[in-house]
Amino acid sequence: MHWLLVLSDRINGLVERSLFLFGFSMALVTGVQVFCRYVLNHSLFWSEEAGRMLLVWITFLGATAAYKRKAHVGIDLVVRRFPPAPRKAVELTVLGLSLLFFAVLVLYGVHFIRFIAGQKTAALGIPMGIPYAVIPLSGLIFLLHAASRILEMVRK
Amino acid sequence: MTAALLFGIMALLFALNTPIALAIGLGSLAALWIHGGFPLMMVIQRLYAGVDSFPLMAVPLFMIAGALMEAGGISRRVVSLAEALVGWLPGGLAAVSVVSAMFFAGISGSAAADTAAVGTILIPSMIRRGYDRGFAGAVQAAGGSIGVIIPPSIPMIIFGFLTGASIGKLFAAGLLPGLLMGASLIAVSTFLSIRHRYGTVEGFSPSRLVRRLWDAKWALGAPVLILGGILGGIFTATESAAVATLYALFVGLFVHRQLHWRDLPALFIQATLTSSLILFIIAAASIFSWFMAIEDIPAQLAQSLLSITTHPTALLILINVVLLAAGTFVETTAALILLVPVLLPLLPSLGIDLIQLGAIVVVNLAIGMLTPPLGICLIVSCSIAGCRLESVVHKIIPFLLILLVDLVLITFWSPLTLWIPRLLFD
Amino acid sequence: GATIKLGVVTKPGSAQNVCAEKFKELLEARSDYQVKIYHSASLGTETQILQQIQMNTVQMGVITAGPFDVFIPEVRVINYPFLFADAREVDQVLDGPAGQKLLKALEKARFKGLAFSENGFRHLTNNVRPVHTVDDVKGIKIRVMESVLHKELWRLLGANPTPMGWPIYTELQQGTIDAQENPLWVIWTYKLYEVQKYLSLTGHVYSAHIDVANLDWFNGLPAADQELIQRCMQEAALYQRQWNRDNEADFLSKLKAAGMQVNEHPDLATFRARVSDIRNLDIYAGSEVQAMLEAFLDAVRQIRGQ
Ligand code: NA
Ligand code: NA
Repeated sequence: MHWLLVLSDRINGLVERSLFLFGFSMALVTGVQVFCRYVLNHSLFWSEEAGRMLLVWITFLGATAAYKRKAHVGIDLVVRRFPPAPRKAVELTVLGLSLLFFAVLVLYGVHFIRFIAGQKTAALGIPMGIPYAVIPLSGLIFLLHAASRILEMVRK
Repeated sequence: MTAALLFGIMALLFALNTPIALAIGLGSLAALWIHGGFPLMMVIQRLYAGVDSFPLMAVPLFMIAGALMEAGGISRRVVSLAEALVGWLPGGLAAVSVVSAMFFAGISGSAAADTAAVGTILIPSMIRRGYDRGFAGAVQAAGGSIGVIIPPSIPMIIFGFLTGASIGKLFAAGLLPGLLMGASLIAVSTFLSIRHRYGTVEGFSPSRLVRRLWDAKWALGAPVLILGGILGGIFTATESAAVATLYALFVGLFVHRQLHWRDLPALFIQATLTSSLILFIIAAASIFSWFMAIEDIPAQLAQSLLSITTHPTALLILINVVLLAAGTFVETTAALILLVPVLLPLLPSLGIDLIQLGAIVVVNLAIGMLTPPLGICLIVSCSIAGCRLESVVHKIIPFLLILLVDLVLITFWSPLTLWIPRLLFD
Repeated sequence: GATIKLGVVTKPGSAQNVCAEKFKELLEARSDYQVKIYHSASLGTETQILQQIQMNTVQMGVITAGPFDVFIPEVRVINYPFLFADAREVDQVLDGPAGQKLLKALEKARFKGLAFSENGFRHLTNNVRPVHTVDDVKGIKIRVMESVLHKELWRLLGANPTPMGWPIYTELQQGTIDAQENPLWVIWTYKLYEVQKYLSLTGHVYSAHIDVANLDWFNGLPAADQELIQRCMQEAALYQRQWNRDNEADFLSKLKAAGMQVNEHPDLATFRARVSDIRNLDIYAGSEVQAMLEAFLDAVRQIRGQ
C-alpha cells in the first residue's frame, strides 16, 4: 500500500480514538458540573468553557473522520445520472475544490492563531490558540484524506 | 450581485454532489474572495464561532445518550412498551416515533437533538420491522421538527433575545401548535401505513401493557430524569443531555448489563462522528450568515417585501414564504439572526402579537428543517437511517403538506398560539 | 461619502445602540460619511467584533469593557469592584486624565479609544431573600459572566458564582440559578423582573462601554475627519450616559410597579469589607495593570478629597 494511504489510515485511527476520549470527557465534565453545583454548592468555573472547546474539537476532528468514511451528505440527484467517466471527472473536480478549502483551513488557521497570540481564554486561562489549533490541524488531516482519495481514484 | 453569485456558486456545488458543509464553505469562500474587502482569516473566526456554543453541546450528548440507550437494551424495552400502547394502530411504530419525538421535545430545545435522541432508537427499530428506510427517516424527521415547537426551544430563546419578547410566553405559545403538529403527523403516518400495509404489531392487552411498563421502568427513567430535571429547574438542556448519557451508561453497564466497556469506543465514535456532520454544516453556515449580514442582504430583503405589499394578510403570506425559503437554505440560528431584525419593523403592518410572530417564525424554520439542501432533521434522520437524502426527501412530502396546513392555522388563528400564554401570564 | 461599519452586539434600544445611533446621527449630519450599524450579534460576539475591528473588516464598535481585557489587561480596572460611588465620580475619572490614559493603552492592541459610554452600575437581583448585608448573599447561586473577576468577586462575597451564557431568563425561571447581576436597563428590557423577586442596588461593579475604532484606519484619515469622528463619538457618549441615567429612575419605578421588592440602600460597607483583598488577585497582579489601577484609585481619592 502507498505510504500516503497508510498514513491516512493511521491518523484516522488516532482521530477516532480521540473522538471517544473527547465525547466521554464532554459528558463527564458536564455531569460533574451539575454534581458540583448541587451536591457541593460550588459551581465549577471552567467546565462550560472546557465543554465548548471539546465540542469544537469534536466538530472538526469528527468532520475529518466522517470525510474518511465518506459520510458527509451531498445531493447526488444530478451526478448520479452521469455516465462513469464524466462522473469521475466531477468527483475529481469537487475533490480539487475541497483541497482548496482545506488549504485555507491550514494557512489561514495558522494565520489566525498568530493573530490572537497572547490572548487567553476567559475561564481556563490557557492560550486562545490551543482551542483554535484544531482548525489547521483538521485542515491537514482533511488534505491527507483527500490526497489519498485522489490517489486511489487515479490508480483505479 | 455578490449575493446572486454566492447563491449561484453554492447551487452549482450542490448539483455536483459536493458535501453540504463544503459547498456552503466553498461558496462563502468564493464570495469573500470576489468581494475582496475581507481578510480570509474571517473564515477561521466564523467556523470556530459557529460551534463554540453551550446549547449545541446537547447535539453530540443526546446522540451519544441515544446510542448508549440503543446498545444498552433500553430502546428495545421502550419499543416493546410503545407497541403495547399503540402497536394495534396500522404503522403503530411510526405513530410511536412521533409521540416519542413530542415527548422528547419537552426535554430538548433543538430539533436536531430531538431527531437524534428519538431517531437513534426508533429508526433502526422501524427498519428492522420492515418499514421503508426513507419513510422511517421521513416520519422521524417530521416528528423531530416538533423539538423546537414544544418547549423548551432554543430558536424561541433566540427570538426572545432578539426582540425582547418574553421567553416564557414564547414557550407557552409553542404548546398547542406542537400538539397540533404531532396529531396531524400521526394522522398522516397512519394513513400512509394503511396504504403500505405496515403492520399492526400486536393486539391491545392491558396486562401486557402493565408487564412491559414494569420492564421498561429503567428506560422510562431517562425521560423522567431529563424532563423532571429541566422543568424542575435542576439543570439546563445540555446538562440534562450529559446526565442522560451518564444514566444510560449506568443502566447499560450495571442494570441491564447489555453494554460492555469494550463496546464503548465504537459507540462514542459513531455518535460523535454523526453529530460532527451536523456541527460542521453549522460551522460552515456561520461564514455564510456573517457574509449575508455584513453585505446587508437582510435589510434589502425587508425593503423589497414592503415594496410588494402592505396589506396585512398578504404580508403574512409573504413572510411565511420568505421564512420557508430561508429555512430551506439557511441554518436555523443564522436565519433567526438575519431575518428577525427584518421582520420586526413589519410588525405594525402585520397587525399581530409579537408572541404569535415568534411562533410563526419558529414553526416556519422547523418546517425548513425538513427541506433540502439544509434540512437538519432530514440530515440527522438520513445519517441514522443510512439512506440517501433524496429517498427521504421523496417520503417527506405528505408530512410537509400537512405541516403547511398547520402553519396556515397557526398564522391566521391567533388563539392557537396566544390562548395558553394569556392563561398562564396575564 | 465613505461608509463606516460599526458593530454592536445588542439589539436596537439597548444602551450600546443608543450611543451608536447618536454617533451615526451626528456624524452623518456633519459630514459625507455614512455609518452602517450592525447590531443584534449579526457579526458575532463582542470579542469577535473586536477581532473584526482589528482586521478592519469592521471599522468601529461600541463594546462593553469586559471583552477588552483579553486584548489589554489594564481595562480591568474600570470593573474594579466598588471603585466608583456614583455617576459623578465615573464622569470625572473617565473624562479626566485616568480615562485618557486607559484609552491610550488600547493602542497596544491597535484600537483607537474614542470615548466611554455605559451600561451603568450593576445591581443584584435574586429569588432567595432580600439582600441588605453581605451575609444575605451567602450560598446564593448567582449567574455571572464567564470572567475571572466576577467569579472571584462573588466567591469573596460568599455566593456560589455560576458561569452561564446569555440569555438566562429560563434558568432564572426554572431555578437553575437563584440570582443574577446587571444594570437596571437589562433587568427591565430582558424582563428579568418576571422571574426575580428581590432587587438590591448594590452597584458593585460599574459597567462601561469603550467606543473604539481600528487605529490604523483612524490614523489614515485626514486630520479634520479624525477630529470630527472623535468629537461626534464623545458627544454621543455623553448623550448616551445622560440617557441611561435619566432612564434608571424610570426603570426603577417600573420594576417596583412590576412587583419587585427593592432595597435602595443596602449596607455596602459590609460588602466592601469582604472584598478588600481583591487587588491581590492574579488578574490585577501585572505591573501595567497595577499602575493603571493606582491611577484610577488616585483619581477617585482626589475627587473625594482624601
Ligand atoms: Na423542545
Ligand atoms: Na431546509
